[in-house]
Amino acid sequence: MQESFTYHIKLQDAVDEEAFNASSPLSVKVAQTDAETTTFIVHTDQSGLVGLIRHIHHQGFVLLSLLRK
Amino acid sequence: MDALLATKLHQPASLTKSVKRSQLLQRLNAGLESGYQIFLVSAPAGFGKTTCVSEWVNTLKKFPVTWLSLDPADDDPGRFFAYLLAALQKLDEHIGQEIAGTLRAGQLPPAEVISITLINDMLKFDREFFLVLDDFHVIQEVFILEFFENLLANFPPRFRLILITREDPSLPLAQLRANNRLTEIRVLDLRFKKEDIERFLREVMGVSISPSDIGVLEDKTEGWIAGLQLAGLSIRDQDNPSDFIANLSGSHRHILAYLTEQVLDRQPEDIRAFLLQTSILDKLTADLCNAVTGRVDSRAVLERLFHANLFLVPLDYEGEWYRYHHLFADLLRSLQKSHQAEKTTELHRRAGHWFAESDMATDAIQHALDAEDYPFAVDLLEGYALDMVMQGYAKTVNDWVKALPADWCSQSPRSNLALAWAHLLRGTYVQASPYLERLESFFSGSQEEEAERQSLKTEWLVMQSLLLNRQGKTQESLAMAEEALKLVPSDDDRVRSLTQFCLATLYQATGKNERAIDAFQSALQASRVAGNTIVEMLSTCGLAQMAFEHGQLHQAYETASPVSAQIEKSSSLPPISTVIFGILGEICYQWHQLERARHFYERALQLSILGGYNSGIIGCHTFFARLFLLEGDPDAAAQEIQKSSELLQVDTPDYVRQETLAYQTRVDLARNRPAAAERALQSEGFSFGDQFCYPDLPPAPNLSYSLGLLYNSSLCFLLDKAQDGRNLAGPKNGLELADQLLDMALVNGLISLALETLLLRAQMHTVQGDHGASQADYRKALELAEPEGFIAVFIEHGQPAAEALMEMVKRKQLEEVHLDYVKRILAALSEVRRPLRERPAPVSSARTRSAALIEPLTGRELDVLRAMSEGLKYKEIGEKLFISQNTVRYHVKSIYGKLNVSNKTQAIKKARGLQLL
Repeated sequence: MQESFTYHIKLQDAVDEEAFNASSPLSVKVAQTDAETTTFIVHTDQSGLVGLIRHIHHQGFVLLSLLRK
Repeated sequence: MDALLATKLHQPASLTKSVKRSQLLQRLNAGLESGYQIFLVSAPAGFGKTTCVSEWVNTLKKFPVTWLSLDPADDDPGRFFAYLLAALQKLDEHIGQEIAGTLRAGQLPPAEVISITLINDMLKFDREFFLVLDDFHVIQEVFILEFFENLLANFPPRFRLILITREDPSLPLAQLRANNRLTEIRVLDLRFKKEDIERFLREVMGVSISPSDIGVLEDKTEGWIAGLQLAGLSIRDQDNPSDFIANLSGSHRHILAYLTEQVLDRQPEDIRAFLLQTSILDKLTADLCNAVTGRVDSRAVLERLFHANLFLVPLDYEGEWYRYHHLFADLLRSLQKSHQAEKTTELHRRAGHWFAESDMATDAIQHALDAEDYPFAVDLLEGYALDMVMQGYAKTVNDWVKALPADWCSQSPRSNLALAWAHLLRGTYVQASPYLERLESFFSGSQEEEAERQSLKTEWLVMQSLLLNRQGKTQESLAMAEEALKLVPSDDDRVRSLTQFCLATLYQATGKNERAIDAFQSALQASRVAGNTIVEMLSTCGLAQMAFEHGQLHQAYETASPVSAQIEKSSSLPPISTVIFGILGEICYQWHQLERARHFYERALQLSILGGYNSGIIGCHTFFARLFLLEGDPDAAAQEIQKSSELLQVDTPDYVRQETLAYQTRVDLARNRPAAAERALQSEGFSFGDQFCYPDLPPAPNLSYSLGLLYNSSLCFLLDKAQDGRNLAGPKNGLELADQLLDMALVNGLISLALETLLLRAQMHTVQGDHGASQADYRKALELAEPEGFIAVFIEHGQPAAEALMEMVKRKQLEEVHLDYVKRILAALSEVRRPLRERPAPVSSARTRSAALIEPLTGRELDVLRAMSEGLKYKEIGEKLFISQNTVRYHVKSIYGKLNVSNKTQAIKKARGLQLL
């Protein structure tokens, strides 16, 4: 519960890393992107992860998958 | 409406027994010493976040700290900002006063306006101060998050923000981290280590276990404090704590549920019942607990629970209010609900009645809804919804209405009425329709007494009338409002005032001036009886506006002036305040009291921005454009009119659009850009080819002041062309329009408009070489203008007017007009005719430069600043500006804040640097 983990988050559409990080509660790193999807990598704990997911929702992005590595 | 609950602004009392978290405090202090401004404490429930921050801020004795505990109901902008301001005003009562006034009037300023206003207020602090927002995760409303984004982007240097949250907020924290502005305490920092666990169990819980058991407990709970506290409570009576600890397994939630049941099982039956029954309450006080449980000894029980560490958190210093730890409460609630669902409903019902009797509407309605006691919920909504919506809590009321089953929604006509008003007042007309439809269905039933039904139907008709008027269906709108007037119950002055006001505006729009004045006066009278200050202000404003348009400047001033004083004294700033200050500014402008006019419009602009009143903002910028034109600075005028044009939207009222366009044309002409002026007028149907063509004039009663201004602007354009020698035929064609316009303006009593048309016609006669007709028009204008002291309208027409008036004076052709009056006009004109570089710099230039600050200095602040730069003392400044020394002090404090300086020398130096002096 308390540990930080690395998560892969896949969103619909191409997302610009810099633009995303400008308003995000957590700094994310784009692992892969194309015209249809973007996969971010983020290292965080549960509070950070939940906050990030909600931020993704607030920003109107569509969350496709979430995977803990 | 509930009073602000002081408990929410109360910093949780320190626990008498607790484990000192020295490392965490060191970390937070290190952040503070490094100049970090934002402190994020983010971890799941039960890790001691609040306790940690509370202990830290207790050590910050030299700094002011204010605390706000949030709950889910605070995720409503109206409520959130009311509490936020209350928290900040504990530090300085002046913080956010203007925002608070706007909120009290039921308006929500844009997020950016709130943040800029608060930032400017916070800049006045001369030392570091702290705001703690506990349970920030409940805030998900985008409007509130936008406010925080703006705040973070322009953070006041001495402000320190501490966010306690279960999840990272949707704010640009990544940037803050990168910029070294964020100190973070996260779950790994908060978790208890072995030595903490040992001390906690021994010193706080009074339990002593072996080091190996502590190790196991650390593994099982991962240093989770809530779990350790429950474990401590359970272990106390265990014969074999090692076995008990070894048997703990599963997730935190599972352990919590298990331990909670263990703890409960160890309580006497009556205490167990008390804990479960009162778990439905977000906050507990003895009297409320008695009402809910049926006991009489709740005070003693609460004290006992508190001393037994049973997750009871005090909410004040007096020991009156408590709450359960959120996690513990959640578990208790689910146990209560699963074991005694029916009883739970009854508990909510009892709580609802207790809160209703205590006039705490928000909690009362929430418990009534939780009890599914819809008749009671509707009864409460009927009583409170309108007031709450008018105070800006529309989202909360809307959420309650949505929580009612569909059948019950229409049973609460007052809620629907309130929500329809909320949309009408905010200009979201389409969204008002569903509520109005629901209201209509209510009239077909007959559950309510006749008078009540009639009162509701009248109000419904008034709202429908407003909607129809908005759609341009003036006649249908008028018919509906007249029907409403027939239905008003004789004893319902509130609804009578609304109906009369609605009628008055429609009569005004259709040129039925006498009826309009009667209706405004009836509305005024009824609103005073009903205590409806908003309609009282609206009606006074309507009367003042009509008096102004009819050239009765003194009467307009006398009508509007007391209201402006009333607004400044009151704590409520409705959007209509803008119009009152605008009228006063316009009158002073016409009297050529330009500084006073500027002050009034600066206040109007400030209030328009606060209220998000777009038409008001446009009107103010348009006024400043006129002022710059009058002062001979067309480039500055262009900047102002550009701001107005950019704010025009599809739904901007016609009168605002017409006025903006009328002055846009004049600014273009003053800047020698006739093509731009022509394009603007062409877009309104004017044509300036071989022959001047203009759109058909409306029937005389429908000629409004703003439409008249637009026609006058086309005459300005013709004159400009003629004076350039480009089209000497223009004025001849224009004369026809001027004749018609003048007749209509005079028939309608629109003296301010008629005056301008006369001056334009006079110039056209001059161009035509008909000097006799020209002089006759100038004389007629002087005769019309003198009784009320109009001056600016002559100045606007500059050189031609000056030459004509001087000629009339020379030839002694003034007849009935007093020479002194004409000399006053000529004196003002001679000032304008001096080249700009020879005139004293207009204060407006300072005003424009002042706009470069986050919040520009007001006209009054500039006056005070100038007086300071002259070396005057506070007393002398007060005497010079006719204000008290206290007011001078207040202005000085505000100037220091806005300039971000801390003394007079710095202020003057910085002001000179910014060319404000």
